[in-house]
Amino acid sequence: MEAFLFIPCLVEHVLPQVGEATAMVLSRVGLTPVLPKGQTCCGQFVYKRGRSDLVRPLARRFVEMFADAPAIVCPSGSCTAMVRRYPSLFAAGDPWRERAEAVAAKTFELGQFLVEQLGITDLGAHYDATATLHASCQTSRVLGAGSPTEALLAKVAGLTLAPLARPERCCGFGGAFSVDYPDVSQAILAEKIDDIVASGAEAVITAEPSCLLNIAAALAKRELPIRPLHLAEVLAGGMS
Amino acid sequence: MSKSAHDFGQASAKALGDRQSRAILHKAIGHIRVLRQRSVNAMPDFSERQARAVAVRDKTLARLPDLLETLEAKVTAAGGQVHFAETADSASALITKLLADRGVRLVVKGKSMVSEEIGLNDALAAAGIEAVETDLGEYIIQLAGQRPSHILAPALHVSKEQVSELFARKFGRTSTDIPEMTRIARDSLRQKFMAADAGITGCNIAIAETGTVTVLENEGNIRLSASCPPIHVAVMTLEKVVETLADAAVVLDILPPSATGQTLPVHLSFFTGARREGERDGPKEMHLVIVDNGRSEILADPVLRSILRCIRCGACLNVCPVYQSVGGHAYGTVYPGPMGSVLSPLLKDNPGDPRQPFACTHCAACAEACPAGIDHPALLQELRRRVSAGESDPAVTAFSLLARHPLLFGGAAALGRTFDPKLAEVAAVAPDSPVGRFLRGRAFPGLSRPFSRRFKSLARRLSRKQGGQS
Amino acid sequence: MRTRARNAILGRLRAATAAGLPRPSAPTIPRRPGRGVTDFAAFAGVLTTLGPTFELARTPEEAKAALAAYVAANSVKTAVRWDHPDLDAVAAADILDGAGVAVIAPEDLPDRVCPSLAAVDLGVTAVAYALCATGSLILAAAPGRERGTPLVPRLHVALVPKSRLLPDLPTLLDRLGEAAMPSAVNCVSGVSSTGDIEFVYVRGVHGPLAVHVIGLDWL
Repeated sequence: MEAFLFIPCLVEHVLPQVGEATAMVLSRVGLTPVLPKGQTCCGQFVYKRGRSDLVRPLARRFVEMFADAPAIVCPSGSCTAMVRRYPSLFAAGDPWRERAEAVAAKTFELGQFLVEQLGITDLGAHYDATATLHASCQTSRVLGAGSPTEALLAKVAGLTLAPLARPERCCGFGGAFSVDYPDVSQAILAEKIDDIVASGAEAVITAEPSCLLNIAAALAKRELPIRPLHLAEVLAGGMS
Repeated sequence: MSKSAHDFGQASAKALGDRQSRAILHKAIGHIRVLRQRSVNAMPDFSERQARAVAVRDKTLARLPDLLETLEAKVTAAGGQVHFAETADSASALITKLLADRGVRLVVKGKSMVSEEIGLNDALAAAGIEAVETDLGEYIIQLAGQRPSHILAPALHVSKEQVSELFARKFGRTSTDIPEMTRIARDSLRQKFMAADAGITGCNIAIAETGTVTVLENEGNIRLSASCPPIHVAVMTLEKVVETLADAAVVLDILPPSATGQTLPVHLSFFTGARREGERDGPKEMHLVIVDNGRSEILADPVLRSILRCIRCGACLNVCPVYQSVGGHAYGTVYPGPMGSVLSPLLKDNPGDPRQPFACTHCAACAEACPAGIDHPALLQELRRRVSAGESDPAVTAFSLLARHPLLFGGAAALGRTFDPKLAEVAAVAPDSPVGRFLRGRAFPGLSRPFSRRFKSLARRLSRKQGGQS
Repeated sequence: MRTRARNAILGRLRAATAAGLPRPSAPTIPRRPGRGVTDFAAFAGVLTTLGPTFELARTPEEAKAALAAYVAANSVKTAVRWDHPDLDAVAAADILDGAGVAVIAPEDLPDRVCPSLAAVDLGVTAVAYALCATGSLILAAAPGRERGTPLVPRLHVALVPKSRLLPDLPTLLDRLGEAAMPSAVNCVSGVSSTGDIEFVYVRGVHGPLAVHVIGLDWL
């Protein structure tokens, strides 16, 4: 079976290794990853600025591009949540609403797809590290895909999970928020980094590229030897 | 961008600079969150309670005009008088006139957010009426000449050293011992309770079928304010009504646990009208002032009306990462945090920064914590939609246009790759530019060779491997 | 002017609700009041964790002794009391008088009750009900049952007959619905407290500094 890769712009241009790991994980469970050409951005950034009108053309592009996909898999909870919102952008009776519903219904965040659609938690992955999990608000609260992430990580050989204080708390990114209110964003992020340091972990894992980038940038700035990892990178662990 | 008297961006940056207040805020909010969580965990039926409360709030909103008429009739039958006020200003003017006409000079007040909303203390002061806040936190705030920073714990941001210094200045009694400072406040306030000509309180729940004003508190100052002076004025916003005692019980099932982590507060009081024939105390006159100030229009708004379910428990403030970092004052309004970011812009007076709904990380912790089932993120999204519909946003428009054309989008990223090593230089030259502020605590990893260009070889490798396995 | 505001507000609300607002679709599980236990052990267990002290009297004689011992132990010189059959059942006025306490009866109170009680040591009241789940005392105002009596003096003694125990707050509200609401019903759970300075919990802010409950097991 084929699984169509929905690659967020952040992954395409900043975190390509996350895309690679996602393809490897899908291959690991016997699926053929397919990358539709011409992907750009799901429109989340524009949507949260309040401009649904500017998201609609992007939604239509996406719906057309993925109309024939058997399943759409994305290594981002927030982008998946955006696609799940697409139908609400079109008025009832608009044919695009129905088409968007069909596409939204087969779009899944990676962990959610593996656990809830395929019923797989143990991928035979191996990753030697003591890591802490940043649940990501968008993945856990907004999309409701927090427990698949935990179930998958529990089966990774060699991985020890160190508890994170206030695991439910935001890392302070929030898309345009981080630029519009840089001081507040930074203050929230600084606390998250403090909590990660306090966990004693040597790596921090999340299923959300935006959080990953935000946390990685702060770890790099502080020159902390803590590895930022996407869920897919951990699940691809042990594969050559 | 629209201009506004209040700028949350500036105010929050300033608040972040106040390390002492932030440390106290941090400790206090952490404490309330633990109490709330412990209390909710101890109630295995909390989600049932929550579902009932949402149903009661929605039923109430659907029947609001009828319930207010019943409330009016029942309060009147119990010897009280009911007044309606359209705006904040008319509400404070109405109360001021009512008290001035009766020769009132000294008023004791229980903590009431609506009295802050309508600017009552300033109006009373202008009429020469002394209004003393009697909630300890609110009293501290009043003595310090400040505004509350939290809807439940108004002095959340004040340290005991600051209180001590304040009391030394105001009362000439010095102590940094918290029980002793509490005693100093008790002694001072007692004289006010005994001498006051009128008491003003808020109203957590008004019960229509009985004409009852329900208030919750731990200190007992509201009970004193509503019991000792010869006049009691209760102020409520119009959505605070419920139909029956049973409906009140449903709201009381979730309010104290969500607010303070208690099953019940120390004092839960039901006041129904004025003192009755033969009673020797209690107010001879009881007035209930019902304030609209924009809420009837919110009710007519099919998307935003659910904010009127709010029972003012403060749970959303306590879990909001933005509120936790900057505190209540940065919002420049009476109602801060998620509920305030939705409600304040919709009020007639003092709406705060119109861009407040943008100051949100979209983390949805508020919706998860809300016992009244308010989906703050969805309401904030709608407010953002309305604000941005009326303004141009060149960056967002350009981004959207680029994203419609993969070649342009990819080209822009390629351009970005050549320039992004320079970002750090921009930040160094202009540390206060958006880029500079963004990079203050972050080292941006830079753009990479796109995934889509790496995919083909990866896919080949993976398919070979799969083929080999099967 | 006032009528105009009233009518304008109600008019807008009528227009807003005319079409009927959407109701929640999910069925809710009705509240089940009155399932909990009602005995002094449960009541006192919760009550005493909230600050008040408790003493169980099995007979009128034990209750009289308890009241006399309390006023002696707390240097009570003056007291104010309610008119209430539960106080008569333990001859509270006589006991206080016998203990050398100057007792103010309701009919002795001046026009402004609260200021006259500011220096009084003790208020003695009965209760309308008491709630076992939350250790709450339910005080209802009525002629001869002043609001200030359990509120203004530095100490409060409440007499709680066994027959007045209810399981919980929802049951209380059901009961209150059976008759006209008194002008004031106070549900008091514990001793007046605050956490307003740095969340340090302090008892005894505005109401009585201490509350003592005598359970009347035979009544």
